[in-house]
Amino acid sequence: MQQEGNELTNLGGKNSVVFSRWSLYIAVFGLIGALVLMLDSAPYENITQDFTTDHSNRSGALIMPTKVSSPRGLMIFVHGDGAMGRSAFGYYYPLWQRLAKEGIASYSWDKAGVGGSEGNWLEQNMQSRANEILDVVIMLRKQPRFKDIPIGLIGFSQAGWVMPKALKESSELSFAVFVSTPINWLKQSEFLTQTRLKRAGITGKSKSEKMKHAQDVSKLIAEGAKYDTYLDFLERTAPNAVESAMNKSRYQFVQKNINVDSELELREIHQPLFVAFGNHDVNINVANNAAHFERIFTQNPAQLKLKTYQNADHTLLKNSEFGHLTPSLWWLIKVSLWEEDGFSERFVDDVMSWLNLQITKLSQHAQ
Amino acid sequence: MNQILDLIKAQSPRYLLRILMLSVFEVVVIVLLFFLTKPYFASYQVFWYLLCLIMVPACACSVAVNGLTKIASQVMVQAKHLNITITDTNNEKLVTSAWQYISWKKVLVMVSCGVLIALCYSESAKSFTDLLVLFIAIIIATFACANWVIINASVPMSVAVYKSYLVRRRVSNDTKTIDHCIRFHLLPWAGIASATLLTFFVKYYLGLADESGYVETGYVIGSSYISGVFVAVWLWLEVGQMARLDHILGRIHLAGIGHVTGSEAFSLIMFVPIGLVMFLAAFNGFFDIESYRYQTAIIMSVLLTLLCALTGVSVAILKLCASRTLKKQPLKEVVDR
Repeated sequence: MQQEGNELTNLGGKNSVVFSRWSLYIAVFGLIGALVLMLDSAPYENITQDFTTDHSNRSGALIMPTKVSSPRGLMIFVHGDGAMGRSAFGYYYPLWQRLAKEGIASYSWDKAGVGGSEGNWLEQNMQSRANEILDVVIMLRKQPRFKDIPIGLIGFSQAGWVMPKALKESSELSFAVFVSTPINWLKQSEFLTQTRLKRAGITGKSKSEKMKHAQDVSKLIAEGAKYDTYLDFLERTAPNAVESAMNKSRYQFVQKNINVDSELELREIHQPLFVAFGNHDVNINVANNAAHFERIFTQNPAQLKLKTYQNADHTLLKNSEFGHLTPSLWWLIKVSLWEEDGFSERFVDDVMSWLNLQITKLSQHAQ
Repeated sequence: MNQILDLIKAQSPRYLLRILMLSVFEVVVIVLLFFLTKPYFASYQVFWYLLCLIMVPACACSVAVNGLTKIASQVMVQAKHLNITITDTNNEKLVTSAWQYISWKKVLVMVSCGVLIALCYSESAKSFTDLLVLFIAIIIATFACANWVIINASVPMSVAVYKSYLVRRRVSNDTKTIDHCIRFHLLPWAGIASATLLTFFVKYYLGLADESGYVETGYVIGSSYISGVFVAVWLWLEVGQMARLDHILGRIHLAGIGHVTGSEAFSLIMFVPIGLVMFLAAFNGFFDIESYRYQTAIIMSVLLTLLCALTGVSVAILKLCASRTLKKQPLKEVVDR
């Protein structure tokens, strides 16, 4: 027995891990099996699919539902302002996921000059962006699986000036979802100036002067003034604003689009629209734009479904959770974690119900 | 042939079954707790990820500590019975607490395992079947991680425990006992209990806040009381079992404690959570607080849970130190209980 003691002091080497390893291996394989099972149930497959527009390549993603043999419909995602990749920093994932669960495919692409796409989004205007949509529709319709299914648009913010042009020009587009979309660029710009001044605590005469100055700048841009003239104007009238002046590319982008107003196009389209706003949106004047949409569709109210969501910001995400966050790494992580729950209550459900209704109506009509 | 090693190997079938059953039991209890709580299945995605990150390491550590302590206790009893002796009886740096065999690296691996499961769930269809597979994956991960810890630590811990038993002396005074209890019983168990309950509070209060924008104080008091009692009873039973080994090895010894019966200990466990929530209710009444933001509700409930964890651990240790049976009964009977 004494000898046993000497051996004991050497324990802890190979012997300590020899026995019962098999149970560990079985458990690890079991875990891998369970994870594969979970992954296998993912509702969509992400397929890279490019298209050409105006001799320039755009790289995009086709989101195909895996739970159905063929999709019931297809939604084309139209980005808002800024350098957006196909998933808008992961903002689209929850929507793709939900659409796929409903048996609806999605298509989105990197904006010009972003990700795998050629060109420069700042050189585009709203018409060229609408042309992209038309080219996407042509590319998709060539594929047998999308030949006969309804195709719709879902666009955010600035897409409100792009989608009406595409809807007007293409009868292939059956419906559209407008999320936080303004109608008139100049009015939108004026609202942003007001919001900025309010945040800075500027009121009274000073506010009036600054509003007048902003209008003068807009007028200058709209009249086609060159970039140097714009800088000279700022130098003369508001030297403090020179530092925050637009760069040349942005200036030219604004100049190309400053006169856009989607009212006329909206009056001419025949497709049904779902328009959603958030009551905490600080980027657009929700009350005015909502009233404007209603006025446009007074003659045909059935064509429009308009809803303003509570506790929702410009992105329709919950204001209580995301309103105080500026776009940052944490914002992205939070959006990824919350997924569909990050959106304002009922927003995603309402959009899906409306889409399902439109698709059902179209299929009944086709029969 | 090394007899101690044989004794440890002989535990293999029993301990495997034990940790498998414990893994299933712990995960199922927590899962049922979540399923029966508002807002049922339609809860926030963030909650499921939080659950994976916390539940895998928490349950795996809990099961591993339980399994290791049981193996070491059984080996000690049987080695004593076979009268195995060890010449090298140097008891310096003898690590006899199972918690010390769970390194930060191991915890990190467990958390990574949770992250992996969460990522896979995030990519899944999130159907009810996926939810079931998620829980099966958590059970398997808990079992695998606990088993991994036990495989690596059962031999050194059993040897250390037996060596420590051979040279045991009543060396612990009250101060050392309290330090030992805080370090090896209160802190790890309170951490596990509050982390686990945190996931529950997040789900429950987020659901309530989602319905009405705030959480009424009545709900906070009710859920804090139920979870407080749950934690106190859980830790009372768990620590009471784990600390018996420390008591036998002379690591825990409190002087001047009279006899504490089971019913007295149980009454204490039930009374303290009532006292705490009554204090909270009085505080709310005094300041006319009718509702909390969900963040405040979570903080309040976690604080109460921590206090209830302290109660559970304290009662378990008091009951153990006051136990006459431990002093009178033979070693085999005491450990087998």
